[in-house]
Amino acid sequence: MIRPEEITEIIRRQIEGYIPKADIAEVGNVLQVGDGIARVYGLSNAMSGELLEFPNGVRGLALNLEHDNVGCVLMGEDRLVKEGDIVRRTGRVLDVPVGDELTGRVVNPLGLPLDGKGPVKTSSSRPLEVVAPGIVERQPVKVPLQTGLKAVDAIIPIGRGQRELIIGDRQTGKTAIALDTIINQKDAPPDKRVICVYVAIGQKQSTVAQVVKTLSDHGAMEYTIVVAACASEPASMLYMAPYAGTSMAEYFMWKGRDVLIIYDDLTKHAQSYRQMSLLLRRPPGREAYPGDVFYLHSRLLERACRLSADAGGGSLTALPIIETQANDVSAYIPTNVISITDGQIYLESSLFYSGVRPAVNVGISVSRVGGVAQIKAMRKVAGRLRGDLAQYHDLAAFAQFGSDLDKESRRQLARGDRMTELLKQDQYSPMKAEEQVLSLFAGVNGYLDDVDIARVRPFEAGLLKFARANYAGVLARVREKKEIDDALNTELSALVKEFRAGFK
Amino acid sequence: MKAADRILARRYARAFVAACGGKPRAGVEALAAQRGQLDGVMEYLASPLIPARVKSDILNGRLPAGKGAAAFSLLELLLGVRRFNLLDAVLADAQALCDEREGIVLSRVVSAAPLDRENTAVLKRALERLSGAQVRLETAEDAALIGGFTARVADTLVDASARGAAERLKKQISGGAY
Repeated sequence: MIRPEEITEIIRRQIEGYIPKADIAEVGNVLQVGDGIARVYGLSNAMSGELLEFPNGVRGLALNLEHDNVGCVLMGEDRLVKEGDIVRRTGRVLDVPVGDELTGRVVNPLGLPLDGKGPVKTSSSRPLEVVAPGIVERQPVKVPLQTGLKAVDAIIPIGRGQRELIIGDRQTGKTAIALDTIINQKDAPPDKRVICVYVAIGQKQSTVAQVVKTLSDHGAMEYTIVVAACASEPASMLYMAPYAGTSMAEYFMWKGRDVLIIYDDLTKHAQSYRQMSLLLRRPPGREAYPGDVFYLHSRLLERACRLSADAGGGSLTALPIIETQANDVSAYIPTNVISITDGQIYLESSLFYSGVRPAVNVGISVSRVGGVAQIKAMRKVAGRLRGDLAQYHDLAAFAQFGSDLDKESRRQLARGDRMTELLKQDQYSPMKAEEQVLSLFAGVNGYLDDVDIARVRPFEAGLLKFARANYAGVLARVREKKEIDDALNTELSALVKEFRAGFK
Repeated sequence: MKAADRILARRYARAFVAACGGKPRAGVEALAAQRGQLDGVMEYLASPLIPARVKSDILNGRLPAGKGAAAFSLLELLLGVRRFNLLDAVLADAQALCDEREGIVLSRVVSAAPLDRENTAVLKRALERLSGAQVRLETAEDAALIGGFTARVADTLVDASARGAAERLKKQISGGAY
């Protein structure tokens, strides 16, 4: 703790040692300002993306370099800037503070704290925008990132370094999937734990506060950074937020750590960029978005990767979120992000309201990395699950006509009903991989076929409790070996049969 | 002035300099002289409430000898298109264009105390070295600078004032940027 006298002494020394000299700067004058945009006359050597200094501590980003003026977005209140004000070049691009000190903090896109826990004392910074690692610096995605959700880990596995889109209408549980994934990283040892970055773009402050509370309540804030650009902030802050979050995440990735970043959501990010572009008088295209809105997201998501061993072996997994209107995935921004990412998790409101939660439509959700990003045990139990569920949905649609079904079809329907029930999971209750394997093992091997549908979830809960109490060694072997050999298969069968015999 | 008006003024200036043929400096000086004779009536000539005929009479009454010259034609044009409020900006831009053609740059120097002849000459030479062009100095005084001076040449601002030094020291002590 520095005493007031020491501060006075430091300032006195600085004043005594200060050598006044002329300051030479390249400057321009504000021509017009409004709506978070300023047009500046002069600054003929300004670079695109350069940080500019306005009076009263306001900063701006040069985006439009035109014939006789520079169009820039302000990162602060535009009422503090007026016509004729002098604008200075800084000669540097925008950067954000990065470091271990950011974990557990809630910051804005400039790295300023929003959580009232005092200043963030970081020692280094990274540029807001950097070129994504090249092919040489990467290695294939093959290590799973467990979300703790059966429906995702079994059918749509996510690998470390992958970009998996979460897409759906409002109130379908998009953020819940992301938060479950963050919470699920808690049990890993601190030095191996996945660092999480949650970027809130254009959300209500109350929503962000709720997210922070949820993460704190589950002990997940200690390894999470929340970057928030809320709805009331200028469009420039919303535009910067995902890039700032990625720069903060990359710091850990280049140190060899695995990092997860969630962009919640990129629809609002695209809208903020549209607002800035229209105010800068850039030509509007489809849905009034500018022509480079694809590049806006592709250059962001391309920064997600798994680095080669030579580059430290770290990874950055991205879970962008897109909000659709009335399940329309053919709108401009959803199709763009679908084409950029390595898979999509589709959430449907009809499933959500019929009680299927997480409301994942397993029929159309995909992961282009596939089984490579699954542990062998999970691949073995979930291998046929997607196909079986697809057949079940077809058959269920046909069975609605009331025609008599043969025995095999009735069996398929019964199995499908039970597997759908088994994939349901409570919010903020991620499951360990070995417990998921045990649950699914019971389901796919038909041990649930004669259990009443309403009793499937109690059966599952009871089975897990029984296994933890009496067969912890079997679960530990699944966790350690990560595959089911014949011996383990027999042990798992015996475990389930024993529980089933006593289940009422 | 609005950004659009500034751009418009530059277009009028460019057209006027072109209309002056081989002697743009003479044309600009004539325009400056005529502008000087309009002091006191500028507000009327720029007002949209005064009928065009009345404005034309005022212009002809003030500048009886100007008719036929490019400068007078420009004044009549600005009056006709109701853009007389741009006159000062057009004149400044036309002077800047002439300066540019002749390799002269305008430098505005603001000092805390009046500059003597010797200091002005030293400053002019220093600014010419900095800009690599011939400098035309415009001087003004501003006690708010406390001491020293500021000089602006094109996009470069040289701040050697006591106020600027104090601001930089403040920034250094407070840790700067964020």
